[in-house]
Amino acid sequence: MRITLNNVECSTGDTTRLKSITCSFTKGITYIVGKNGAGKSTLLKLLTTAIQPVHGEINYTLLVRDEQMGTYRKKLTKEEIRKIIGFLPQHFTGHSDMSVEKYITYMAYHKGIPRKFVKKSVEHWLKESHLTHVKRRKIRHLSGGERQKVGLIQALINLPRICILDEPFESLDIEERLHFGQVLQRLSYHSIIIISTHLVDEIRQSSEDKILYLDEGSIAYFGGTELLDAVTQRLEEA
Amino acid sequence: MSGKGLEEVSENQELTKLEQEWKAHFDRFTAPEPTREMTLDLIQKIKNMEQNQSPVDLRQELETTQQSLSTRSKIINMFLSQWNFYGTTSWLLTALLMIAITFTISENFSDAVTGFASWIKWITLLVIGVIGYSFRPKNEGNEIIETLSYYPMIQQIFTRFMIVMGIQLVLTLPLSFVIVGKESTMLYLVSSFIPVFFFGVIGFVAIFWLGQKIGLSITLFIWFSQVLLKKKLLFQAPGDEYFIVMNLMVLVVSILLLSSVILKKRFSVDLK
Repeated sequence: MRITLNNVECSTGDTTRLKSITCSFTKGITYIVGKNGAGKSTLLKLLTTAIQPVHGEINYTLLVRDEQMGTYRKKLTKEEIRKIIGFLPQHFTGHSDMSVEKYITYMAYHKGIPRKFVKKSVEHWLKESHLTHVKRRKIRHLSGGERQKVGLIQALINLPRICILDEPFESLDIEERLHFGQVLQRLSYHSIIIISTHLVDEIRQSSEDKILYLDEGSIAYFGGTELLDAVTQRLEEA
Repeated sequence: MSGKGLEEVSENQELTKLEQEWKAHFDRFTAPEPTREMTLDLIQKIKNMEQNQSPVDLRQELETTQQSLSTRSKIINMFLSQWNFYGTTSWLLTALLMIAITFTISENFSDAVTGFASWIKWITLLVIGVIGYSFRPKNEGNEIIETLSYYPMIQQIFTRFMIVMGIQLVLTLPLSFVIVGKESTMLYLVSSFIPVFFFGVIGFVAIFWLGQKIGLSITLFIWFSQVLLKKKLLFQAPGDEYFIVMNLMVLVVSILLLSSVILKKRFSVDLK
């Protein structure tokens, strides 16, 4: 699976949010960093297909091995892409009048999990995320951290091929960050994980992970985490 | 230790041996260089080991299960996803409210015709309310999440509409017998069905094209104009002069309005 952005430009109203972005994402974790207004959330929304670029194109391709045609890259349609994306918005609210269990059950069906697996899957995620005791509570009555965990579950429940998370570790305590960090780590073996974060300390210095540093809508750095310290310093100076 | 474990130990030993051989070769160029075949063979073994260590691709398993589902199962799954959006409790409350309206009017009106006229107005108002709730506005995040589904947007929207309308029609038709009593005829069933269907469609289509606030306002405006107007257009009773013509026209208009939804090609979220 690969996402390729070619000279992508995006604006909202009169403001240009992203300027000629060219990069590609493959399986593994990519952290998107940058100060407020750098265009992080706009880039994530573009990747979810929710908004369209003003210029340039975004291609989602899948490596297909066919006995007759050999190996080739298949371009995915918008419908195909939407089936395999998990997304956590920056300020996740969910449907506040639904209970936690009902919302996650609704999302499990929404994401195409066959009905014989829905109950088991919902129970598993609730238990693993320590939300079983609040499963009957309405989402609007949850604490910030609990709500964020519900948001993460809905984004991860179908083990998406493309997982786009906007500030996923916000409001979570250390133990919860560690738990979801491990879940994402496991998922990243087969999926593209794109995480926007301002918590630079949460980024692990791993040879497999990448950083994309956005500065005023342009890519200031895109590469391995070995330059994390330099990026952190630039962010602190900015 | 299992056979696989022994194999791993032996591979690790081979790898360490090769590493030492290369180190020795770099330290002293006179030391023999390991053969290329040996190196390539070990690289392949390392690749295989990595593959064995990486977690199982559960997504692949899910996709295989999804593909093996029958069309019937897929339809049921989509139905359940939309049913869960409104929720069983909300449906029970709606049914209770419809029953309460029916029995209150049935007790207070001795005359079937005037009772029916009053009952159908309240039932259609409830239909508008339920449609408004089912297609309630969402914030930007929820709207994006809704588009990122296993089911295309158009299928989701139609399924939800069919559930909302289906259940209300199923409830309305038998309840109309309670109101009309012995005077029940096929024509009374028609005069219950058409307004419920019309206001459901108007509410749905208006919300679909114009958003919840404007859509609901327009639907309520039409409802109030019909309630306040002396000349009945939508709430026709079987004895009325233009009963069949009016109901036929309302039905055709409803179907045409409903078809307009297909014209909306883009179901992406417009964040402008």
